[in-house]
Amino acid sequence: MREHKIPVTRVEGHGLITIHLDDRGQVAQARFHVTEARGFERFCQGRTVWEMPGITARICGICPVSHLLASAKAGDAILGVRPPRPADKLRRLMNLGQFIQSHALSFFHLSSPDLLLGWDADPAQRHIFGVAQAHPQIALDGIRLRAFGQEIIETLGGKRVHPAWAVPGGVNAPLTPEGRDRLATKLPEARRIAQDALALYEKNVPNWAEQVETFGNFPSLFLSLVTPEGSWEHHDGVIRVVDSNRRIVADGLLPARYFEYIGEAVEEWSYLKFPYYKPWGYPEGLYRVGPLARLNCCDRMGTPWADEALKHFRALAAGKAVTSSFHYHYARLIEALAAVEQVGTYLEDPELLSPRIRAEAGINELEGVGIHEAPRGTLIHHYKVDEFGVIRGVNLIVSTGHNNLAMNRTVAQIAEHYLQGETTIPEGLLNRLEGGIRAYDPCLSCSVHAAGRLGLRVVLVGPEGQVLDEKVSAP
Amino acid sequence: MILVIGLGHPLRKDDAAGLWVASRLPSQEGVKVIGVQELTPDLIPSVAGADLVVFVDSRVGSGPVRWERLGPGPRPSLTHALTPQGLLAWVNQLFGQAPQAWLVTLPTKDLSLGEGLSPRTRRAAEALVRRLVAYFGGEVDL
Repeated sequence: MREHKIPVTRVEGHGLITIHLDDRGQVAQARFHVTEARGFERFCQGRTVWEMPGITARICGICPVSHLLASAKAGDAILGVRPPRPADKLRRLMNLGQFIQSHALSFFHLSSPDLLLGWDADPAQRHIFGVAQAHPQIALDGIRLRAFGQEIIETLGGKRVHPAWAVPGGVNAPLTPEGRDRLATKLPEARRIAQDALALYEKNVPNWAEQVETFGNFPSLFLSLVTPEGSWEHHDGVIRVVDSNRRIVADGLLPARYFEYIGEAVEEWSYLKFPYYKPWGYPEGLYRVGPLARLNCCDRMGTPWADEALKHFRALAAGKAVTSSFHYHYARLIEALAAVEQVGTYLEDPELLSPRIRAEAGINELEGVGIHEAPRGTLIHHYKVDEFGVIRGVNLIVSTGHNNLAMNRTVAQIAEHYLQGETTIPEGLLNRLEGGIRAYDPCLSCSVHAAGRLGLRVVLVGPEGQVLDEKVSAP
Repeated sequence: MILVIGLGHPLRKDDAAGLWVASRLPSQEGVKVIGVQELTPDLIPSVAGADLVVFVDSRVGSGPVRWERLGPGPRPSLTHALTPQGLLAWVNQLFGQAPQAWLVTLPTKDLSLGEGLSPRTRRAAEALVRRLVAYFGGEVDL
């Protein structure tokens, strides 16, 4: 069996794709490897539960808010408290800012070069600077939308990256009237950009028919939080699992009991674990999380414009689940619009100025789970502590981990479609493999809690295990 | 509008000099002050809206406060290593022109882990704050 190895770029983190060929030169297997390791689950042991939001936020510079909030929720459970209602709303507002900035980064900065300049465009131009030259207004829109999300985070948390703001029991500062008014002035532009981006995507869907068919288009389960009433949810609620027909496989699952329905398999060739839906076994229990899953799982978005967009999204699959991972981009843009709409609602809520933002308590439980939705998908923080609140055990399952099986299936599908007997890696294949991974907007640093450079390699390996070709994309 | 961007790491002692200066400049009409750990593309709209941008950063080594006129670099730099010139290049590309800009660097002695400026860096930072305040008030030129 021969093997192609391909690096993946324009994602957060470092990874490798290997493509194994059989004796006939056909793709026998393709694997997406995450090749780094860090160890947050280990070195957090011995710290206190109150320190965990600040420590685990350092897992990632792109979505520190997600870890901050999941960690604070796990702390809530250990304290045995429910944050005051203003604190819950403030956390939600910050998470919406996180959705806006992260989704803008993914679509405009990382993926728009492929979508707007073409999959076979000159690699020297196929990046955000190329987009800025060819479509300056779109590049500027992306920068402004991301800046709006970042400003929400900074306004609440005091800084854009790693704000130490959410704590077990609530948050440590409310929204100020000045901050509210400043954000409100920028809301109309953010809404216009989100709507324009969505319209741009919808207009171009027919141009991407081949990518829609081949970039991870397969039946699977989808898993996400929803409200108890079935609406789109990003910070609390219950777990719902649907299949490719959007039939509900499981609903109302308690987040704190995640280990009863999510298993974690290990493969020797990757540092990233392979979560699966336990009742269906491994690997049949492959499921996807993130924007695509959230839209497939929910009954409604809960805001007018996003609900209208959801109708168009549903029409892609005649009401069944949208199964192409390429449409993660579509779902991401609908979520960005929903987030902007919800931000508008929160900015009109006087309760966000309330000083009652933290429930004080000691250690009342020796175990706590915090689950919420990061932009990339469901995020789980599970801590065990002693009677003094000192951490004795940590388990983190992040969105990129949940999508690991699906990303592997995606690279295999793309390789099978675009690699037809070659013994070298064509440039077109390289970028499409990367694009397939990029659709999931993975955070490889996050997923294995890794430290390292950006980039991803692709290696082509022959039937005897010999390396036939190897390519590395510039990060 | 004058935009002052103070750069630095708050936990590497003298490296925080730019942030220290930014935190001590009074907000006033026509002046916007930002403190950041690194330059990011999010700053492009603010830079584009300024008539003058002053980047305040620390530098390795001794000597006086150093002033350097800046223009846009040859092309926008990568987002993970955005320089003042790269940021100006982004603005130039997206808006057709970049504002006047200065890079002001402060001498450092201690860049180890911790908070607080060494006496020498602090004196330089205080002098820079006085000069910038005087400039904002129209008392001196840059």
